[in-house]
Formats: sequence, structure tokens, C-alpha cells
Amino acid sequence: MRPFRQLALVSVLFLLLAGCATTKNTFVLAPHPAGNVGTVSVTNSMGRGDVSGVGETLLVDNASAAPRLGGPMDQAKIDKLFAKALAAEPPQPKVFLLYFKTESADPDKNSMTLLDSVVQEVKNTNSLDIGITGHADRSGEDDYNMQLSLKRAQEVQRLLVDRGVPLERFNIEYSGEGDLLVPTADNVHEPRNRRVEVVVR
Amino acid sequence: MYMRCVVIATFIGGLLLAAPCVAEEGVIGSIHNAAGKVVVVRDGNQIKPEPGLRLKAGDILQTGSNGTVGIVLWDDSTVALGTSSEIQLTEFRFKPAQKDFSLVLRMVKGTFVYVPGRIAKLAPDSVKIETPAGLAAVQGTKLLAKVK
Repeated sequence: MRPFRQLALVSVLFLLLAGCATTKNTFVLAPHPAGNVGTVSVTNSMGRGDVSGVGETLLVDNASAAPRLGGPMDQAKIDKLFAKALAAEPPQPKVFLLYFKTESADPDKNSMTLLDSVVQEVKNTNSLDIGITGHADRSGEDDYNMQLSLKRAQEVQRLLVDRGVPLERFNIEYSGEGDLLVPTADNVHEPRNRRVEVVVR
Repeated sequence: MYMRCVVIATFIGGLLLAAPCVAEEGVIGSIHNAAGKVVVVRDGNQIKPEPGLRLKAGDILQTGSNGTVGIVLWDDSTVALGTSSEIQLTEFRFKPAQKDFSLVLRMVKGTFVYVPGRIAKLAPDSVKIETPAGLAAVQGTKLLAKVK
């Protein structure tokens, strides 16, 4: 009997260890902070799982097991698993668009007013990371527009620094006429493309 | 940004060479918040993740048993790590003017909250969320993930 009991014990231990070793990966779909609900999928060599409803889950033991549907997860379980990570979730970056007259690096009147809202947002969120990207429309030469988009971005940075935002919080990029808000043919004046985008992160 | 400046400078035959490349080379985002034990591993060195710290491609973020961290990438995607978690920011390219996009995140272990940004919108196939369970893809929604 003794060898059998040992074998039984070993078998039980093996099953327990195997149970522990089963890697459970859990993927839960939650609404986007803007309110919309999209899709989540997980793909590995054994298959693919797709979910598209709030709280729906995909479970995967490991990379050698096909993803499977886990059904909806209730809020209590979500809080239990993800409370710490959810508490560390940064707010969504806020985007401001400033507009310019043709060939000018000075923001138009409305955009000058909008600068105050940018400063307020920086204060409210204590943002340390503010992105400024300059753009131009397609009137004029490419290289001229590249410089103009940089000048616009630098001018917006200067105006925000004047209003008390520390210089080291900014990063400047510029795209010339390469990243249009409204696609146009070359040499077309388009006020909506003459812009600087400020992102408060 | 550095690459873009080089490209531009070449393109216009040196006209812009004197223009400042304001963005630091290789920066892809920043730390928004960090609490408890958190480290950023860059080229084998450990960096303390103060809020505002600029992140670079290749950085690894690790949280301890009481640590959490939230980051924002420059395509406006956000990632938060719960306790005892690890992620590598493997690859990031966001250059709309060149239509050059790439985001590769490797969730090694732990709990994550991920909200996709502009790369996922503009070039969904350029985003790869690698996990021990396989590749995750997220469109227009928030993902909560627990992996090990």
C-alpha cells in the first residue's frame, strides 16, 4: 500500500502544481474615457478571441492555448483586480487648436483668447508635458511652410511662457504642410490648416 | 524628432540647420504620476520616475508590491501599471507628416490600463501590444489587462 499512497500523494501534488502553473491572462473591455465603446482582440498561434461589449472578457491560459470568451466581469471584480492600475490612469490629454492668418506667425484674435484656456488647463492639471506642433497650409513652397510652421509653434510657446508656464515643460514639433487637418491640392489657402496644436498632457 | 530634423535639414539644403530641434532625441512620452516603488530601466540603468520625466523607446517600467505609475505617450495614448507590474516601451514612432507610425508595448506581467491614442486611430496595424498570452489589439476603447 505504501508505494501506492506515495504515488497518490505525488499525483495530487502534481495536479495542484499544474493548477497553480496554469497562467491566467485576463483582458477586459472598458469604455473609452470619451464614452465610446470599441473592440478588443487577443491573437496567438492557437487562435483569436474578439469582444465588443462593456465588461466582456477574454481569458488565455498561456500563449499555447486559444483565447476564449470569459463573459462579462462585474464592477466589483473589476475593482478587485484593477483598482490600483485604474487609480494611476492619467487623464486624457486635452487638445487646443490655435489658428493663424496667411503667412503670419501671430495667432488670430480668438486663438489669443484660447491661450488663457490653455494656461488654465495647465494649472488645473498641473501638466508637466505640453506638446506644441506647428502646421501650415499648402499655399507657398514646402520649405517656406516648414519654417513658418516652426515659427508658429515657437510663437505659441513664447506666448505661453509669457503667461507663466515654465519653458522646460514644452516640446515643439513642426510639420510644415505635411500633416493637413483638411486635405487640399497644393497652393491652396485653407485657414483650418494654418494651425498650431497644443496638447496638455 | 532628431531624425525628422535631419530629414528636414537635408531636404531644404541646409536652410533650417540653424533652427533648434527643441525636442530631446528619442523622447516618446512622460511620466504622469508615480507612487510607491517604481523604477524606469534605461540602458541597464535605473532612473527614479518623477512626474514629468521624459520617457524613451526601450524604457522598461517596473512597479513594486506597493508601486503604481501612469504615463502618457506623445500620440496621446495612456498606460497605467498596477502593483508588481512590468512593461517595456519597445518601439514608438509618431510622424504624421511622413505617415510613419509604430507603437510596440510589451506587457511582461501585472495589471494594466491602456487607452489607445492617435497611432491606433491613424494606423491600427502599426500598434502591437505584446503579452504572454499573445498579441492584444484595442480599437476605440479602454483595455484592462492582467497578465503573467
